[in-house]
Amino acid sequence: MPTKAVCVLNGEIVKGTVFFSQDAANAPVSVTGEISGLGKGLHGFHIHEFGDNTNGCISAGPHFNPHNKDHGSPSDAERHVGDLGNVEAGDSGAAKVCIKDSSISLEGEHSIVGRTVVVHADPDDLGKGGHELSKTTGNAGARLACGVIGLAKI
Amino acid sequence: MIGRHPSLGPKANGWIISPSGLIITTGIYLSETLAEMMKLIFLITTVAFAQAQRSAIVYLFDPTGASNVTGSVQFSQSGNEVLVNGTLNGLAAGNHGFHIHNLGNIGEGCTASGPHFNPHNLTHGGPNDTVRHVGDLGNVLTTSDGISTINITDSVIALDGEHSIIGRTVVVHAGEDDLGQGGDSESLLTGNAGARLACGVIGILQESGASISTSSLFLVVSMAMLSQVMTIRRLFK
Repeated sequence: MPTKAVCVLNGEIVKGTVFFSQDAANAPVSVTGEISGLGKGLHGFHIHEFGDNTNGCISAGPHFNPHNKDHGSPSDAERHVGDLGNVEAGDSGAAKVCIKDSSISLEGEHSIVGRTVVVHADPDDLGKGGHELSKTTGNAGARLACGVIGLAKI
Repeated sequence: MIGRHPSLGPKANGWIISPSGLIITTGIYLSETLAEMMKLIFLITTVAFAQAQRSAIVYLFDPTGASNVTGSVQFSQSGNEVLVNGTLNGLAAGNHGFHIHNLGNIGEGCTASGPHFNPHNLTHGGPNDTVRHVGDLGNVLTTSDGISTINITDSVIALDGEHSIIGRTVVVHAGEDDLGQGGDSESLLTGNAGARLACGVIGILQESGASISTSSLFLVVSMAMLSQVMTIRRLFK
């Protein structure tokens, strides 16, 4: 059964809406949408564990990582479930999101419904930066905007 | 790694399981003390898992920025009931409709969240009515200082299964919910609660039984290692 989810991202300057769509429980999830107000370049884009925005984006906790793995790129076997890599903003500060991912799901153990999407200030080094934070956060810096992932109309 | 520990000899029938350097041995020579310890380990594990009840949280605000209404509300599963506790700020004094709406979308000034969460297609009612939407949580009362304290126990909403509210939206309204008693058709749909002043998508705060606290895990591991030492000592007596 197809499932859809949505996330309205809310930050001081950065805003956006991201849509998730999955045709069946084990099918890949397509992630589409647009985010505005970013600086030109790459920005870490992750699913964080908690759907808690009560103290801003910081209360969303770490990346969604049910198997206790190291941070990586979306194409790595060693990655957090929530590691969706980067989105890239152009000169206007807008980034188009167009991702297909087989680790996240909209149901079951890897379900991201009720968790938080965070867009970061800096590029995610995909675990390969050699920085002390590379293996946990990709050294992607501050949390510019976030939102809790909710159920959408099918 | 699972294997027979060579130092235990053929009589011991002991197995070593070392997933990450941790060695747990179960011998056939279970002393009374060891059996007591195993009981204790079981008890600690049970307590640790019992503490991990599912809970959810929502941060409410006005996505359009037009109202100053904000707040946070926590949902905790307690048996068949969900405890709803929190505080809202910035509402006018009086009663305000407080509902779970069907979709988890706060776009278009909270209206993208759709109608009340109503999986059984019933008419709108009060939280104590049999005929109600699952999302009908009634009203929250705001005092003259603009503070609304929420303290609701509801046995219809849930944090998993068919009535799960995770990934749906909490909306607080400008007007009072007439609980379906208003006498007009809108009363049986929305309770005539009016505009949507603030909303938020309900998110996961704590998984059910999925996590075990670090201190409890440490205790379990310590007890397991201690019991192994006891077993080995007994074997070589």
